[in-house]
Amino acid sequence: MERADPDQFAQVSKYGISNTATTSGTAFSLSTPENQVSEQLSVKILSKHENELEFELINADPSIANALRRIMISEVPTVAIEKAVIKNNTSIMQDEVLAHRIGLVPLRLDPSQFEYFATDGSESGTELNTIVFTLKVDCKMENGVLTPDNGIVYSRDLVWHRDESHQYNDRLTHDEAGNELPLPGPVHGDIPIMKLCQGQSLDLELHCVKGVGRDHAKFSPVGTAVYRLQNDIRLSKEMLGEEKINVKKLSGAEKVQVKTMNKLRHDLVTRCPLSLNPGTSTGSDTSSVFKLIETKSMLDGDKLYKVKLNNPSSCTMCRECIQDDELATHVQLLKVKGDYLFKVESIGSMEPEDIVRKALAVLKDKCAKVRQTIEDNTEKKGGAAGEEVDDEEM
Amino acid sequence: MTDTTNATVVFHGEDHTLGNALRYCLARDEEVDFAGYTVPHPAESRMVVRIQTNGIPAATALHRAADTLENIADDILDKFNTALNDFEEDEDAF
Amino acid sequence: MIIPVRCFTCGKVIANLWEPYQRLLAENVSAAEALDQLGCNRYCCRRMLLTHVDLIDNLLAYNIHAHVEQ
Repeated sequence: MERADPDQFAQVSKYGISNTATTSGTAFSLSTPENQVSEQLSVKILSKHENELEFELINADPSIANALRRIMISEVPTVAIEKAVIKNNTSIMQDEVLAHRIGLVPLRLDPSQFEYFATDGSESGTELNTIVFTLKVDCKMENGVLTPDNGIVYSRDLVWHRDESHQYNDRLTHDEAGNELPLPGPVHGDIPIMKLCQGQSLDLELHCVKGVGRDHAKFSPVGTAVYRLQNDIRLSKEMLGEEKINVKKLSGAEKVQVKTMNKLRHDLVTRCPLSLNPGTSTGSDTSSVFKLIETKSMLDGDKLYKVKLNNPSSCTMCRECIQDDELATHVQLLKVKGDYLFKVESIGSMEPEDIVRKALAVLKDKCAKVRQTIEDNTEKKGGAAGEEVDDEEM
Repeated sequence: MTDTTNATVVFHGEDHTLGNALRYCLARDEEVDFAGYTVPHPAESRMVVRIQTNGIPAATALHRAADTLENIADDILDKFNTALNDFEEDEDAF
Repeated sequence: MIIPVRCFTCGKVIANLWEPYQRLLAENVSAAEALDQLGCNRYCCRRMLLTHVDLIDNLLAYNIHAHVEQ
C-alpha cells in the first residue's frame, strides 16, 4: 500500500508507533505564518449529552490541545467545602474521614459569584468568599421507625445557612435577569454521606470556598477531560473488493487469488473486536469499525464479500488486525496529527461547554499576565528590554 | 554591554501548561532562533523559558509569543462558540 | 466501610449509584448489565462499585449510643 505522509500521519504498526514527532513549531522547521494557522484551525462539536461534551479540535499543535486539557482539569475554579467545624460527631466515622467525604460532594454554585479566600490568613471569611452549609442529623427511633430512613444521611441534608444580615444573598438565589434559582446545594442529592444508628448524631458547620483543581481534586470541575488523536484507517483496493469481477472469465490462478482475498476479508472482520459479526453478537452496528457486505457474485458455491469502513473513529488501535503479516499488507492504521477528539465530562456543577470556555479564558489570562509583567519590567529598566525578567508569583 | 537577544525567564507558579504552549509560540516566530522550556523540579512551582533571538530583544519575542497564544485561544473560543451554536440549532431541528 | 463519594481515579461521583446498583443486583441483573444501565462506563469507576464491601452495617452493630434513648 501507498505510504501515508509522515508529516500528517503517525503510523501504528505491529510493534509500535512511528512518525510521531510534530514538525510544526519546532525551531528548525519552516515557520507557518500566523494567519494561515488560524484559517486551518477548526472546531467541530460531535455530541452533547447532559454532562458530557465531545468535540474535535482540528489543526492545533499538541501543546495547545494539552494546555486546554490541563487547564480544564486543574485550573478552572469551582466552589467546594473546605473547612468543617465539627460540633458533634457520635457516628462511627472519625471526624477527619467524615470531613474528607463531605468535602468531595460537588456543589451547585456559580464560582464567578465568589472571590478567592486569601490563603495567607490575612483575611477572615466574608459573604463574598465563603458560603456556609450546615448538616445536623439526629438518628432517633420514633414509634418503632428509625429516622432518618435506615439511618442514612444523604447529601441533600446539607442545608444552606442563609444569614439574613448578608447583603448579597440575592446573587445566589436569583440570576441576572431576576429569575429565581434553585437554592445553593449539592449537585447530587442522593449521595450517602454516613449511616447512623439509633442515638448517634451529626452536627457540622461547613465552610465552602472557591479553589482550583491543582490545590485539591475536589475543586476540579471535570470527571475526565481527555483527548485522543483522530484515527484514519486505510484498506487496500483488493481488500475493499469494490472492483467488479466476472467470475466466469477468471483463470485458475485468478480464482485462487479471489478466494484468498475473500478469506482475508472474513479474517479482518472477525479479528476486529469491534466488528458486528454475522456469527457472533459482539459489537453494535454504529461502533463497528469494519462491515462485511455480501455481493451478488458467487465463486464455486462460496459467496463473495466486500469490506466497508463503517466507523473508523471507534477503533481502539488494538492492532489485532495487523498481527497477521498478510493482513497487515492490506490494512494501514494511522493517527491524524493535530486532529484531537476531546471528551469533557462535567461533574455537574457547570455545563461542560462552560468549562471549555472558562479554560480558554484562563489561558488568555495567563498570556495577559505575562505581557503585563514584561511591560512593567521594561518600564522599570528605562526601556532596556531583554534582561532577566522575573514573573510575579501567580 | 548586555546581550538583549537572549534571556532566561523564570515563571513562578506556572508549569507545562503555559511552558509548552509558550515554547511553541516562540518557536513559530521567525525571529527566534531557539526556544526551550523546563520545569526544573516537579515539586517546585517554577518554570523556566530560554529564548535566543536573531536580533530583536528577547523580551519583545516573549511579548509577541504571549500575543500569539492569546490569539490562538481567542480563535479556538470563537470557533468553539460558533460550532456549538450550529450544533444546537441542528439538534433543535430534529 | 461506606461507598466512597468519588472514583479514586477519575473523580466521577459514584456514591449515588451504590443504592440503585444494589437494587439492580437484587433484581438478578448481572453486575456488568447493572453498571452499564447506571452509566458507569469506565473501568476505574466500575471497579469502585464492583469491588466495594459495605462493612458499615457490621460496624453499626457495636453501637455504644444504642441505650441512650431506650
